[in-house]
Amino acid sequence: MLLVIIAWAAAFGVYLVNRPDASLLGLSVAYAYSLLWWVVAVVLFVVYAVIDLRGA
Amino acid sequence: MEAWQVTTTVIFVYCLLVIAIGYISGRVLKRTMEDFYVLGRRAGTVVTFLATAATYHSAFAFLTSVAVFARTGITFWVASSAWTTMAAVFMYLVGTRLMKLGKARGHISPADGLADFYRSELLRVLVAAIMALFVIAYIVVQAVGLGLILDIGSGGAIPYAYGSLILMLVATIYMILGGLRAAYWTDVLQGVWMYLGIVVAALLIIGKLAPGGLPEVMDQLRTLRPALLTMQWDPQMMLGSILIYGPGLMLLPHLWIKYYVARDEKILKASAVGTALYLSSYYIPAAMIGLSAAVVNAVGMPGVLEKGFMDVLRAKYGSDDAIMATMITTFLHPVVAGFLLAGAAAAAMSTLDSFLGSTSLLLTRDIYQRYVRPGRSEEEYVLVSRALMLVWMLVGWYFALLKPGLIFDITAIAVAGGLQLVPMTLQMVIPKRKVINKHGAVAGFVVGSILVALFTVQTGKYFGMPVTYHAAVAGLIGLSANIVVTLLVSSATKTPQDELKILEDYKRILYS
Repeated sequence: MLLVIIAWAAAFGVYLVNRPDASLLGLSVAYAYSLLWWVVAVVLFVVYAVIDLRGA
Repeated sequence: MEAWQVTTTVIFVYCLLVIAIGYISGRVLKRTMEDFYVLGRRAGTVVTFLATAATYHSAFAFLTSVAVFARTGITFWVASSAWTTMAAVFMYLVGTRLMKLGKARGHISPADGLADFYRSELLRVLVAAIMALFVIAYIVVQAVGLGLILDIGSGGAIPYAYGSLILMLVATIYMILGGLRAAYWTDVLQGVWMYLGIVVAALLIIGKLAPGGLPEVMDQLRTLRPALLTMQWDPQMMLGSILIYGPGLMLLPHLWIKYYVARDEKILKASAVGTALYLSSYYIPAAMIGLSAAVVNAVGMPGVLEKGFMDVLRAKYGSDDAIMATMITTFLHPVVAGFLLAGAAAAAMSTLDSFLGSTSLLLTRDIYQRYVRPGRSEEEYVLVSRALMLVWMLVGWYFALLKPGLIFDITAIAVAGGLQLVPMTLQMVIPKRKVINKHGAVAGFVVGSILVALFTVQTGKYFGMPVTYHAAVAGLIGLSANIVVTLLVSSATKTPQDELKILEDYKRILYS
């Protein structure tokens, strides 16, 4: 539960980089940060599920 | 045939297909409540996953997401990527526990489970009645979406009001024929169709408007409307939207009963992982279409779409939800447009059917069966369920005729209501220690629900309240008050013995 709260708190990091300037693939800094956050969150969830389901 | 006739024909072919599925599923239906509503608790991974994902994504995903992307830019991605993944994690952690409890104690509806855990018939009636009222908002937005699809798809030949009624009747007919079994079967088709629809639509529209892809759209927006490349909501709105569209939506009856459908825990967990990928990735193509629309709106395309076309659509349809359907019919071949608009109809119907089913379940099982005519045959209850589906469909259609505004804003009311179930549900699935009793649960739920209604723009204005700017924020206020009241009342009142006894049963089910 704590991990979930920490992970989703990181989504709010977008307010620290909330700029339209071009970055990765021409995306704005804010968009690129959010996309990276999403990839990391989904990968963490999938890895957790795989470990959990194998254990189950 | 004219273009609109081709497009409309494709949409009607889709309608015939889902009615046929409803008819076939009705033929194999056993006339019991458990089979009518939760597939006899025997669904595999594909059905559980696609039924959940297709039910979660509605007209909201296909129509309003594009509209909000076009108006607020990447803001919608920032928030929606967080709430869709949160929804799936919630399903994984909380849904599996609700499934175990439901299977062990015979729960079919949310009110069933909560009344059983808190030993409170008052809570059963409150949850059933308040949720049935909140979900009207969700039924209304599907009605709005379906009306727009057929109106725009037919080039105005089938006006909004009739289009909405026709497509809502299609969903109601297959539900009456096959119950929620029909919804689960059609969800599989609709889930695939709507996903393919949004991806194909994005590729074709971007191909026509910006051959350089998303980077080209970004460059144009950086010059024309740089604010659309930044997060525009404040943190309260962001937090409120993550909570209402995450746990709030996943606790509404139409999704809650999906947890009871899965055959076992492993299937539900695997479905949650699939749901995370499906729900969140869906908004990538939606972003491409919405941001392209913003570019066209800023510069115009002479002879195709005029500069400022979004304002024209808003004036005509009462909201921005018509943008997606207009982009499709303007830029794509009529057959392709028909296929894609059928995907949009699939998105709306796959949610509408579950809402009609789950609302009739709440009212039939938790009120009619218990208090109006107890001890009657299962056939009578199934018949009443079917009649209630028709009634709730007509209620939703009536409100849709009033053109209530942006789908995104209306859905928020329902899910802000669903969020008020969080405190009492968490105690139910984490029964290690008794923190919340039935007095606290009732008080907190009532206070939270009332505050949501009072602070939401669309309802609070009737009470002269200082409303918040969005139901997401009202949901956050309601939840905060709900938690405080729940804990205060629970600590100030004595927990009855039967509640403590049932707590031990729940511990045994979940921890042994």
